[in-house]
Amino acid sequence: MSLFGAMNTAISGLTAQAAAFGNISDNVANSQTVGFKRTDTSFIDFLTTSTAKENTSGAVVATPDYINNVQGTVAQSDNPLALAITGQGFFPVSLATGSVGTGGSAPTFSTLPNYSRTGDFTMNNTGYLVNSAGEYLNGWSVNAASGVVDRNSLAPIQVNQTVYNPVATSAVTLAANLPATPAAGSPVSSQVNVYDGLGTVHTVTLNWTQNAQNDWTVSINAPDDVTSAARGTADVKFGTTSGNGVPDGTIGSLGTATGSITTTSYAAKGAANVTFTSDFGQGAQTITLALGNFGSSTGLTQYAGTTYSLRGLTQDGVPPGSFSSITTKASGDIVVNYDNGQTRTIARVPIITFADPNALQRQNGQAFTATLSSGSAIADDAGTNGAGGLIVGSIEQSNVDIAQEFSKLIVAQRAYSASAKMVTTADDMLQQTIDMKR
Amino acid sequence: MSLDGALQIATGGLANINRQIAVLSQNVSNVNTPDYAREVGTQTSATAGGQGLGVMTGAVQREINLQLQQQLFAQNATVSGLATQSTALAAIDPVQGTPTQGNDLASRLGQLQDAFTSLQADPANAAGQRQVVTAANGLAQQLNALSQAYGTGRQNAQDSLVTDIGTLNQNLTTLSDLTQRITAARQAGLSSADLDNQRDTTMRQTSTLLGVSFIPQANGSMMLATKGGLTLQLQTPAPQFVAPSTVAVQSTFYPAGGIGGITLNGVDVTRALTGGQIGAELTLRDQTLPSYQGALDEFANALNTRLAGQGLQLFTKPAGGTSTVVSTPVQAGYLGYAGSIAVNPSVVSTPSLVRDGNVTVVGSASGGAAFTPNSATGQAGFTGLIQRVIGFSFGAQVQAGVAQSAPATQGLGPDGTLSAPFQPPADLAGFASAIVSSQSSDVSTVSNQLTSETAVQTALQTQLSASSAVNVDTEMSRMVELQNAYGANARIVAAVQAMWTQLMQSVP
Repeated sequence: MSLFGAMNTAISGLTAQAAAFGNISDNVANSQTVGFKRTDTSFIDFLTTSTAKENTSGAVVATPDYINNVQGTVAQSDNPLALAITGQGFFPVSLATGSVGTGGSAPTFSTLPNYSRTGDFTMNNTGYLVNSAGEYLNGWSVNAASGVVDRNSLAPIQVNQTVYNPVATSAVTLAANLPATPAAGSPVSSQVNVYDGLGTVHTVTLNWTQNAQNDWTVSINAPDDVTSAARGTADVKFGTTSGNGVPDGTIGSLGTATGSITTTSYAAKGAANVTFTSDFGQGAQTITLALGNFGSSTGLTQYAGTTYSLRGLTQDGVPPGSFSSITTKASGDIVVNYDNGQTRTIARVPIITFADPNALQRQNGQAFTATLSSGSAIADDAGTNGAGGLIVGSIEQSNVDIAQEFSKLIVAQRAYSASAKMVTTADDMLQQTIDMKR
Repeated sequence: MSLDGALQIATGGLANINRQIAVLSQNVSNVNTPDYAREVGTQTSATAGGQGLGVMTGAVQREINLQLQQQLFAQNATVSGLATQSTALAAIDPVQGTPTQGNDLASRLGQLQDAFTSLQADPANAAGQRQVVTAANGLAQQLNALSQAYGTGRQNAQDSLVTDIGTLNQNLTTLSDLTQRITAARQAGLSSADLDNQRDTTMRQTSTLLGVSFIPQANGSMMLATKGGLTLQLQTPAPQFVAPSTVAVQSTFYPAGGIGGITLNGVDVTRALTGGQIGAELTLRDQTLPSYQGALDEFANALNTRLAGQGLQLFTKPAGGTSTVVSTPVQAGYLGYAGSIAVNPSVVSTPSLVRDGNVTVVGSASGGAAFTPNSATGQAGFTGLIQRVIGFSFGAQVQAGVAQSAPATQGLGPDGTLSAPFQPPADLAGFASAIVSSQSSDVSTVSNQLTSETAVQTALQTQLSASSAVNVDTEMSRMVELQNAYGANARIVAAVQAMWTQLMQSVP
């Protein structure tokens, strides 16, 4: 019994080392696979009889030891959409099961959520972000208007907003200095470009006339207005001439509005706004001309000088734009860029963490699925609650170390040879036992 | 950390140096390119999970002092504006003549006065009478020539203006196009340094055309603000100005007199365009040269009326002004008179009229004393008129004790908005000298300003070059650094290779 037992034990050793050899082979073969996680081997001893007086040989079993939580090397890539996770976590991805529509324009997705660290994403012809293993990147959708991230549902990210709709101008912020002693005759004039609802640009002229020292009238003209060019006038008074206690040269009061103009009334450090209405053929458009704050020198001022000087001017209207490129941010935001200089965040990629990432079920294409022992998937923003951060324009290589694999290989080979020696020795001994009977 | 990782890091190091050396060679090849600002590659160390992962190459940046660049742009506008003015005024200068050659306005007037003085000694001398007519003709021709030169100057300014607006529009198109590409590159996290350098060239060219400042926006786009208060967003489609068509500007003026404004989106923005070549051309066309013309018309009118007021219609009368404005300007009756003034044909055919006179003057308390012309058959030695001309027409008084009415210096020109930059003395000789000296002082002022502003421009240019242009020495030493670093990284690759070989040999 004991000889046969020893032989069986040696054979179990051969099987276990063969399994270890298989794992090493798998690791070495995938050492250049993006996002690959290696499998080590553990050995477990099984007993038959083991007491104080007797011990018979047992067996060894090899079990795989999945190393999913060890970081692979991060390498910079020329692909601007590539993402690498540093730290714990996985990308949520979906597998396509088929497609509908002409030319497979609308893929259908498996309902089983997959997780992967393969981050070499590119945009495919249907606007989805797909990695080299053919998995579709999922993300939270972002409300285009409010920028609020909807963290309740994950779906494959598709870039289909190819036009940036124009935005009519509703606010113009002006920072300028009116000359305290302007040249007599023509009014001080400044032009502002505004956009209507169709994104057409229109010029609005602000004519500033000095009535008296520190007392000005602004006349707003929109030559493209369908009703009449003159949009109204308002009085702007500076310093103590206004009757309010503000520093010299800063706006003290607005008033005497005519036409479509309304003005804000004085409040210490309150906003000094002149609001006018204009109709460029798309219905009435209310535009607020922000002149800074009462008593503050940040907006419109009236200091020494003979000519108007502009310090800054912004307006919030936007002309129409078309899709130019897509970028990813370290926050996980997927941003669509338009040729009018505007950007729109369409989705955010979360990082999925598990209580025990090493217990995940491996799938084809370096992907994983959740198991009972891994715990359920927890989605977090990158870099929060223990989830790893993101590096854009980089990919994570496999976490296989070939030198380590080779040393394991040597050990496995020696152990295998030793086990084989046990078998041949047992065989010799059995032969001798048989030879005892002539 | 694994051998693989070490190799990966060394490879990343080599790739980083490849990019840096590309930036360096771009710098070296552009060492003499105007407006090229030195580019520097950025690099940061990469870590993941606290573990070093080599180097990451960032976007290429430019080394440029934007504040200094804006100052230089403003200075460019000043210098090119002065250069335009200087060239235009220099073209008029030869027509002004010089006292040494006796062909300037004051000398011509002096010659007429001298001819009358000579005639006074021998009023019946036909040669002396013809001498007066010849001198009067010389004066009239000088006035015509000056008027003609001012008109040509205005026409040149208008023609250059149309050309420059065309160039400005092209620049705006280039700027808008480049700005859009810069915005796109920055959005995508790519380097926009080379595009920025290209845009700087066009920005510099634009700054010589017009007084502008560029206000950069957060996303890489740019806003252009003119000194006159016009703001343009540099976006495609690019904003385009429309210049008034090339019209003969001799008798027309801006805004109400036949020359249209420069428009943008249908709005007249001429007043917002100041500084640079365009600003200088507008000033020449609408201010400088018309006010010269106005002063000259005023002189021609004073000359004619003062002679006629003493009894001699020596010159032709003004044909009448061509004003289209509602309110009657000061010069309503004699706009452009300097261009048409000539010696009275009846005086040319009968030179003895300069002795006899041809206008009967009814005396008044504020004007000249009463005068009746000498009849053709009257006394040959009549000096009554000649005395009046020498004493009063060329003098500061219209009659003894009554001052000449002062010539207008305000409200000149067809729309009555121009003014002469001097207060002329009461006599004609003083008036002529004031015109000549004020214009030649303009020429020298502009020329001096141009010299000093060009010096400032050169100083700014030198400062900007010192801070942003490529320095070959720096680049060469940087190249040695990069070469050494490349060698070191390559050694690591070689060492990893040797370790691999050993590892392979250890597996039987």
